[in-house]
Amino acid sequence: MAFHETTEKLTPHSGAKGKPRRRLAAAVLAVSLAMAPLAVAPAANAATETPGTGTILKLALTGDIDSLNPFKAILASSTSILGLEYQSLVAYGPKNNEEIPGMADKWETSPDGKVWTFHMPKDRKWSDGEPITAKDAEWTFKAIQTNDALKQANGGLLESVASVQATDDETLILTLNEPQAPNPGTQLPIMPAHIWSKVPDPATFTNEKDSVGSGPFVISNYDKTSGVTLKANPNYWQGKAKIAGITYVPYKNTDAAVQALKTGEIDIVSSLTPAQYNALKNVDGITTNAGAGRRYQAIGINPGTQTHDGTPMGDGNPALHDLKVRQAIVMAIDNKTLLEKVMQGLGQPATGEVPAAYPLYHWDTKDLPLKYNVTAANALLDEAGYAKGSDGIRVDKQGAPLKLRLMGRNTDPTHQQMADYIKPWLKEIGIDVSTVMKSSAQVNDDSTVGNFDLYFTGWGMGPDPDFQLSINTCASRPNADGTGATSENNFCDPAYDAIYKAQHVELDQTKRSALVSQAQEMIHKSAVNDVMYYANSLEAYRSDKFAPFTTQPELGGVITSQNGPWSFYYATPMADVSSTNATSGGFNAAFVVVPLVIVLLAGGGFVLYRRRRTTSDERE
Amino acid sequence: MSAPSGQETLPTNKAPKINVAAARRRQRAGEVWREFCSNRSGLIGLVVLAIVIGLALLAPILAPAETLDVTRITAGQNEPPSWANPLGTDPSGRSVLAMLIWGARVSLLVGFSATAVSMVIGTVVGMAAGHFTGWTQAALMRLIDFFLVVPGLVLAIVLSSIIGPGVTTIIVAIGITSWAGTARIVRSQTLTVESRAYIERSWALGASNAHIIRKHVLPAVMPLVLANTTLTVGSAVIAESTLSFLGLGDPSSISWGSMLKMALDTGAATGGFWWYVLSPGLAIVGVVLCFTLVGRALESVINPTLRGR
Repeated sequence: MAFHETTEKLTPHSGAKGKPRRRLAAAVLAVSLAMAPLAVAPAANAATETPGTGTILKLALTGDIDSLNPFKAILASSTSILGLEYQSLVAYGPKNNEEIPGMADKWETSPDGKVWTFHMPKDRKWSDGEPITAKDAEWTFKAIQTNDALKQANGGLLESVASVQATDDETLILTLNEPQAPNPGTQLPIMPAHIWSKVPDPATFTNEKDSVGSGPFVISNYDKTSGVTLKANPNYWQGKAKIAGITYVPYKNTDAAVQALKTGEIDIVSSLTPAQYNALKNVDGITTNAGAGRRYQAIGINPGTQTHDGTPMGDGNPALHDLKVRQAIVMAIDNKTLLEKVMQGLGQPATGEVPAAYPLYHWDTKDLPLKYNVTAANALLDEAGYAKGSDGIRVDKQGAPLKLRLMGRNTDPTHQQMADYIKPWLKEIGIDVSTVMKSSAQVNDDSTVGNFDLYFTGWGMGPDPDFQLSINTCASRPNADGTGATSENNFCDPAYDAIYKAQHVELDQTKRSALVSQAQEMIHKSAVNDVMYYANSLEAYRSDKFAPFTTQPELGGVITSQNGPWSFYYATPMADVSSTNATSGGFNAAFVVVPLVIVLLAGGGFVLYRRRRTTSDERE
Repeated sequence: MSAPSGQETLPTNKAPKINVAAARRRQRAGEVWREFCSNRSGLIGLVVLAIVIGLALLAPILAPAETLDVTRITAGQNEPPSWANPLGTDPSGRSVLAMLIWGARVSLLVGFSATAVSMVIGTVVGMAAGHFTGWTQAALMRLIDFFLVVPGLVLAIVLSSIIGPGVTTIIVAIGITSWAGTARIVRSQTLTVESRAYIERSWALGASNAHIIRKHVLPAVMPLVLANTTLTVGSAVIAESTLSFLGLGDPSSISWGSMLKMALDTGAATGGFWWYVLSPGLAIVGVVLCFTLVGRALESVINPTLRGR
């Protein structure tokens, strides 16, 4: 679209009877413009299929791929693809995220929790037929430990590892700096040493073509337009998958992906909005799944951001340094209504950071200390000495009206929707809120250095809560320029650090669970991170082509973004898929023709209209 | 404008002094109005615009702000049109009709303000580029050329992300990206006017640059600028919708573009909530169409050679 009216020097056309044509042009332009928002063109052509026989599972790829190098990949869409190709020593099972054998078939801990011994069975092979040994694991650990460039994705996992040694082809011994409860063998993908040790620079290796892995699928090709193609690994130790491969087809937005699902171009779509989810519920041949999410959605409240050595940073409102103001804000926000209205009830009410999907560490309480209660919130602020002004807005200790900024991401529609609720709620306790929606990168930068009052945040987490708790310790606060450690919300309390430490080394499950709950309660009471709900992961798949997928956890779990490859590894095509594929699914002409017609109409109308546009230079 | 100088034909009666120029302008305005009225589509556009502007001004009475307060809404989410909500409800349960009326305020405000910015810059630079010669002209023309070739949308997006999202940003962004075309038109008109004999006479009588520009060139280009303004408002409304749709507007103030953005983001097209997609879309089309009709009618009044086409 051009803003200019570049009409100078267009000579008027003579002779033609203009009026009907002009009206027609206007009408054509009007109709096509009105229809334009409805036209959702598929963003991409179907990706080229891998040669060979068997069913290919096609997924919509709506997120970005930052890298397919396991040392570098951080974004969720990349790591979930890599999770299909590379295993770690210990895997998380489909039933309940329990720890199950991965590359190691058994492991043991020394009584003091400092030395972990992993046994790697022989006879297992990489996808290119080379044997998998403990040397591969040793190489992976050492590569990350000795090369800073490889620390980007998983460096944090190895900070507690003092030394690693493969005593023979089947035994790997990890010695830790201090005892720890979380199994150090989870999460870190083990790489084939015979490939990666020969790569000149593993940090810049793209790993995009015919790569070698140990998981059920390996990447055969990636490019930006046709997406990621994976083929089944015949050497996977649990046996070859029932499907021949997986293709991730890129789509610009989920609406386009949903249309492709409806026409059968793809088989699974994830990250649906509630409206899309409800619209797909009653479509023939499509089954929807609302899995218990692994993420919490929260509002971060700036308690006065500080660097790791305690120097104040950022421009947060000083009134928020007062615990009572923060607690009043938490009590003024009705999380239940947000879940019901914004997520249309597709989620679970929240307590602490660990979602209900991980019952082992979820803080299970019916009576939150800071539950929704406007009267109590007002009383708390009155008592703390923030009197209401004539306009109903309270004044802070300096006499200025209490005005806070609420920051969100412009990529997430729920942020603006929630802001529409939070603004009037906080007005009820006498706090004026202005909202601003920024790009994701900007929100990340601003929140890290503390340039905010309130902002929407959220973390997805794995089955072990250790990392999530660790980013609330005093040591997790960043450097003055925002680099260094990552803090959830700049919380710092020595008492909390002690509890974190205690759960980190507690080997008794019951005691550790209690400590984790206690830690979450401390964060909740400090009112720096108001966890509002755990949104369900909304997905839909072609149930006429695939049998119901394995979810994780087994009951009410997710299909995509699992901790492990299970849903795709166990994917079972319906027997008659290939024969009906050609007629029922595939290419739908309407999706090309309709936008094309609209574009032609708009273009035609515009040309007709422009031909009428004239100037009047020669006027006297 | 164009009428021959009437100094010698002044009325000879001794009536109190009449401002001749004002009277002539009044008379000319009357003529323009009559000619404008004879253009039916232009008149329809004007009437519809008047209604839309009226609705936008009356928004606080027609749809009190409380009806858009999501915490006090009882209607369901994404409800189809009904008697209570003639255009259905949005994903938060707000009446789409009420949002449309409030959205008209932002869309029209941005449309008019951005056009005002664009017209002031375009007229001043255009007249200067036409009036002055040599280096000044060369420099101004290159400046205009620069803004002509820079893609307006991209520049506006860059500006928005530098200044930060908001209504003011959008006004500035549209204003300073859309003046170049106007400047070109004004310049060519300035050149035409300045080649006329009466300007030469003014020069001969010792008129200054300021006098020529203010007393002769400006009145001569004004009608053209006016017609162009009406047309530019239309594209400014579209530009506002585009920028809001891309998430560069003020998210807490409702505009037609931000309604479309919300519709797309929440999957209204997939959900079949046509009322939420079509209403703002048609509103944009309607208002832009009206501005175009009025602008074209004005143009044909000012430039009689365009009539009958």
